[in-house]
Amino acid sequence: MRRALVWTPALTVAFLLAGELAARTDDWIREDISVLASPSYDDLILKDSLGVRGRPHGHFKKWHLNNAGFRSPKMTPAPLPGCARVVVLGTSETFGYYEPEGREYPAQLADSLRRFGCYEVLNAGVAGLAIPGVYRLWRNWVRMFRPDIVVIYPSPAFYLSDNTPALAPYLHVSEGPQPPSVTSRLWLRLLDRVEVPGPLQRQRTKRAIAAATAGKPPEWAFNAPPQDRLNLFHDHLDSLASSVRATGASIVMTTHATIFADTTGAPEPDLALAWRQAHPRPSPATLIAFDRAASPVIAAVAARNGAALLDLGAAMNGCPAWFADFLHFSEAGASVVATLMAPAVAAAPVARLGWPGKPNAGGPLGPPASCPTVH
Amino acid sequence: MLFNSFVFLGLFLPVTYAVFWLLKGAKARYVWLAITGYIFYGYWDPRFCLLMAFSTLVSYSAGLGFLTWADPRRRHLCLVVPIAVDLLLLGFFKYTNFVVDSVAALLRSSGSDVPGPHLNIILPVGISFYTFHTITYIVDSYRGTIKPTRNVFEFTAYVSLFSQLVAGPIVRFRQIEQDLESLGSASRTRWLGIGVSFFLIGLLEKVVLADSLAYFVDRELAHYATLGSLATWLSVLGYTFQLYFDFAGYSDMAIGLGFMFGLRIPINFNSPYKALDPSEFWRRWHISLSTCLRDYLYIPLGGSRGGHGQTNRNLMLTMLIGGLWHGANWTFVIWGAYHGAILLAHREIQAYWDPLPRVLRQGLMFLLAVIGWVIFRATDFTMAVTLLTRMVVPTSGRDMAGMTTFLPILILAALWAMRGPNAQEIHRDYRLTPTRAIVLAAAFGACLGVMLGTGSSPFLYFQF
Repeated sequence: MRRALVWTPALTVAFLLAGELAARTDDWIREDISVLASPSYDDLILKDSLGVRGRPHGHFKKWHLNNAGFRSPKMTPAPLPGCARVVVLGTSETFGYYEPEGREYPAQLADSLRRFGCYEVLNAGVAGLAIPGVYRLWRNWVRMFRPDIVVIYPSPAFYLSDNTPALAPYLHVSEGPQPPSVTSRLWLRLLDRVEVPGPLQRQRTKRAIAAATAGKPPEWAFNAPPQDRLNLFHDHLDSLASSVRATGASIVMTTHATIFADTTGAPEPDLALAWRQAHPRPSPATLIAFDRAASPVIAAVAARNGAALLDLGAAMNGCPAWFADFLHFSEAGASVVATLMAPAVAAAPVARLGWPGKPNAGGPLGPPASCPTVH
Repeated sequence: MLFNSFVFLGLFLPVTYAVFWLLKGAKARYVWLAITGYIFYGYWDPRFCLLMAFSTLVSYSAGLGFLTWADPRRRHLCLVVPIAVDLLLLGFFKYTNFVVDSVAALLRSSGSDVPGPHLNIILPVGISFYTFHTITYIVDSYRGTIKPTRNVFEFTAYVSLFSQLVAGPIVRFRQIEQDLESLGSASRTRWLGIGVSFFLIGLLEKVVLADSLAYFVDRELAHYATLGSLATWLSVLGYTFQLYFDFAGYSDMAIGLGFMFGLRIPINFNSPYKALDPSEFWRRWHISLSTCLRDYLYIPLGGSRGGHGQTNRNLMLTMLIGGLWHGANWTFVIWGAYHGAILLAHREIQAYWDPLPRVLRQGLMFLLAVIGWVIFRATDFTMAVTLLTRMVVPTSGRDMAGMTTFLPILILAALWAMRGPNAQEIHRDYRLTPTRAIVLAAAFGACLGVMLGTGSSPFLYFQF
């Protein structure tokens, strides 16, 4: 018994220390991450008065950013000669969460566009950005790279946050640089590996929502899509589109797609609950209804700014095989987006190159696959 | 199921181990080992359990036949029929497409426009290994080397023993017969320490060394045509050690698992890169296969009993068949022929070879093995020729990505394989001391630390 008391901690310490060292060495071997570093998602982000954007050469796990902080191959400031530069603006759906590296929809769009001509696609998606953030990103950073075509994939749900999104050309950054945090890589690997069972995850989600909504008055909750927030979404998106249009770039705008077929959350009510964890103020039904209500708003903004409209919501809503969670695409979903988007992008004129737009230049791509059954 | 998977380490092994030692009596333990063997095997594809069960039943029946009949004609039938059945199954699943494709290619080369019908046949994992198990059992029973067992559970447990089922070592019945017979009275603690130690060292070899090397090697060889000479050499050297630590790691894990269940499985690797000549290499590399080929092929062919030419023929034939056993591809046949050729050449020049300095002989033998691995690794002749040409003729081309990271791993692997002790030497006069316990805990931690990030990669020899 006494021996066990002495040896159990000693063996545990040896086990944990070696595990941590091995995890760090393995990161060094495979990801070129320094053994002493504490990598996190923040390594991908640069936050200053210009706004939030990708950190040039940032990398974390499967995400690798290029010299301009885009999730794209290395690029030059000016577009490649004879090639149209396409920039895709959006948030985490565009940046790509679940797809393997190189299979997020902007990367697949680049592949799909090859049959139409020389297109250079830059993925300027940054996770967590509402339209004001995207607006700053465009205005203060992306437009310097002189895109010919800008694809906008807006995410309306941010407009149901507790804090009303506000449009401002610059970001007020109050906090200084954060002290480096030390995180166990062994622990991070374990978290990545362990899948929480469905019932337990549901309980956790409910508890998180209950904590976020505790003590709030009944009128605080959104029980129907709030018209003022929809109006704000319209105005902000319109400002962004106007700013893009002012540079002479063509615009392709898309509606937002989710896994939900209707406001009941079918076919994945648990995911509707999970979505609410990010936006506790609306009910799941309101979240979905707001997302649907945003589609005509996006269409109106597109029409006002002479943008092509791609109704991804209509094409993809309710198909579980195309989503890895409530709204992020699976690899198959990203492929569908790219397939639908490529002709729309190729049809957009490129003023700099004198391209009038090439509708179906490479022959019709054909309709995307119908929603496959998930077993 | 892989030894280096979470489901094996976290669920299968603990449950199998606990229930095994809770059960009393040999019969219950045979049954349990057989059940767990089939669960382990069926985890890939349950359909192939039927195939293994059929092969087991045929071989078991042959054993009963040997016990029942003394008549040479009937005994001969008991030898030929089950072996033919086993070989037909192996031939169908492993070599049908190879034969069809080869014939089609031959006809095409002679001007006939024959489309080769490529059949959709899935190779059942481990079939080459358990076919060897059953054949050696039948032959040994026929020869009277062993007394066939009447206990169907014992025989099923032997064939489906999960520790050596899918990639060896090729354990002959006679090698574990004694331990199987006394399984009911085996001691749980007697070999537990050495078993765990063997298993963890094997896991370390596979997960930490082989898989780290594979990360670079696979990436580089996927685009072998663009590699420069230095990168080609490094990739091939990396593969040389990857293959060794992958397969030796698997074998050490199998041996360790055997110990944990009271079964002493013979060693399969004895530092082959320390070999000084081709004969010694084959006495150190995949020992269970080499000895099987020797006892069940080379010697029955006549071995070295005939003249010089006959011995050479037998040796070459054995190596060719050994090559083909590895995979249904002409590259494996050529690899077998290559090793046959260097074995023959060594016999001819032994008088000049043996006086050479030891370090030179080890270096030359290592180089010969490396050249062989190029053929072994190549997916086709174009790849083999391209790699060998770039190794011989200085060629400019792509450098190896991440070379500075790769080199320390390569050097570490080389030092361990060519200078360090192998698992068998580490466990000579083994006693679990506190220092060893801490080292083993650290080894397990390191393996899990890597596995949590990279997942489980299959063993290279699973494809054979």
